[in-house]
Amino acid sequence: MLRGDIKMKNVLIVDDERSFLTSLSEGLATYDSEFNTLTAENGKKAVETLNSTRIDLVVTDLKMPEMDGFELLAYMSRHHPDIPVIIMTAYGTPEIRKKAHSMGASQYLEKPLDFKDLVDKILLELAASSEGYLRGITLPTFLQLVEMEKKTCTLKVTSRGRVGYLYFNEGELIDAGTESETGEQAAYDIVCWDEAEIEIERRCRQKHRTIHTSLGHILMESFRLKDEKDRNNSGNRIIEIQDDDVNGLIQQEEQNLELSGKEAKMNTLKDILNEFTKLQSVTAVCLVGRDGFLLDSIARTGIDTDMVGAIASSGFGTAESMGRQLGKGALTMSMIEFENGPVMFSPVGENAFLVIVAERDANLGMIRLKLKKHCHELAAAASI
Amino acid sequence: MTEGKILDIAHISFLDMIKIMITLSGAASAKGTLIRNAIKTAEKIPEVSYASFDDYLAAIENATNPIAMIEGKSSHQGDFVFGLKNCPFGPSIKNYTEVFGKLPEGFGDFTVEFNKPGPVTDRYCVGEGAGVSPFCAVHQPMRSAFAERIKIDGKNIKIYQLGCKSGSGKKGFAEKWIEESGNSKDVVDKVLDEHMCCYYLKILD
Repeated sequence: MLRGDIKMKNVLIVDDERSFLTSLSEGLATYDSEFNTLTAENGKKAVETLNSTRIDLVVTDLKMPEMDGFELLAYMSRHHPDIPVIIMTAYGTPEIRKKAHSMGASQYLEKPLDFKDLVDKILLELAASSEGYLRGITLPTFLQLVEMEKKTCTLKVTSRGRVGYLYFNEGELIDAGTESETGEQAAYDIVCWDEAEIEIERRCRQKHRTIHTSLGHILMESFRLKDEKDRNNSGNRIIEIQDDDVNGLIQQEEQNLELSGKEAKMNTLKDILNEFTKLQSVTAVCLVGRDGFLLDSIARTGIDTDMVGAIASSGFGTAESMGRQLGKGALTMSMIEFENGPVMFSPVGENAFLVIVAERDANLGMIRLKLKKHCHELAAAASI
Repeated sequence: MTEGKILDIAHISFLDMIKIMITLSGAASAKGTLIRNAIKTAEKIPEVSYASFDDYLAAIENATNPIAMIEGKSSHQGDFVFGLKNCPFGPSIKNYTEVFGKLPEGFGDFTVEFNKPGPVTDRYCVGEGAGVSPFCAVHQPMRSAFAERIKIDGKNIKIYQLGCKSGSGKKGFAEKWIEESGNSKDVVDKVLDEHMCCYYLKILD
């Protein structure tokens, strides 16, 4: 039964296993001073609850009969886009687990559930929504879920009067279309649409494959293009982008940076480092000389960046030595994954490297993108 | 019956350890580790104050001066330029090369790395050409870091590494520090004719 207190939060758990729902409800009852727990056995029943009761958080499985988790998420994108969602899924393989983490692990829970983990995430999400954050599922997250679960479907995406289609066959994006574009270009456009509403059809309406690029690459590149467009719209020089190859784009940006050297010099080292700490769950970014002495850093309180630099120098050097030993060429990026998040290293010029310390739910794709984008600016700003 | 050689395993192990550091994590990282270690050593010594430069020199002579304690007695050549007769790592190098014929591989790369400009070598005014072996990466920053804990007449002092000479007689000059300290390469060259190491002591205002 729901409490009368208007401030009491309501959490809806959606799963088709009745015994699981019952035991979860009983377990969560001990937190009834924090939130109410409601349950639904499939997406359809969850929709009924969503339309009749104020829900503050949905925790859902993906594989369910009648209306599955994807259809529920698509429905929520249209009708309840502001409600945060936690997804319960059996990752299955380390690769999928890694991908889920890179998507923002705070929104994912691995089955079988760790009860304490579930409670922690529920409380965290509820606290975040109290602070005014909108944490509903985003289109990129939804697409990665489709890939992760190897789903075959057609997605109709609507945003501000625009309509686009994304076609997935067993989790692979094979085609896309908007009113003006088809294939990969259409996909680049669609995935960056704001306030996207999603409709899902349980079959792939396209048979012919036109997209051969991975979804991860398309997402990263779309963010980059969007970022670039935003900058151009805010008064910077317009850059014509025709080369879809990411290396081509990066080269183009490098040339652009050389041409507008003044702009590069305007950026202080701190400004550039700050670009990284703006990213979700990045706790420290350190520019370190190859000898391990710190050149500059921004870090949360409690992180000894001098020590990070010294230790990272050894790790970075070891990774380089391994590459040399194995004939792998120059090191472009190194990442160590820890229980509580990754540490990434990337060379900056010939005499320095960047260390990025992040938490478990950091978006690794965005970090990589920022690394590629700011590498030359960093080297210039640090005068290395 | 021929007489065998007695190895000092502390010497042998130290030199081989440097080689392993270079192999595992690269010359730059190994350089940083050795310099950091030198700085940490300096942090352990108590601060010392001398009433005058003459008192400072006297403390070198009787080996109570912290710098003299780590490197032996250096001699004042005039105008605050000092020469050190023997490299403190000389016995280690001799011991190693007597047994193995030559120094470990990778030491050359390390020396090149030490001489590269960088924030830490700038801070301690070392390297920049004055490095002739990996041991300079320990000795030179350690001396400069020790100097930061010494006062003369209530004033801080700073050491500039001007040059160094290898066991084979090859001289290395830190032109940057020679110029910045207001000395001439000729003076340093002459000091190195008779000494292994040459540095300048500046009493800061």
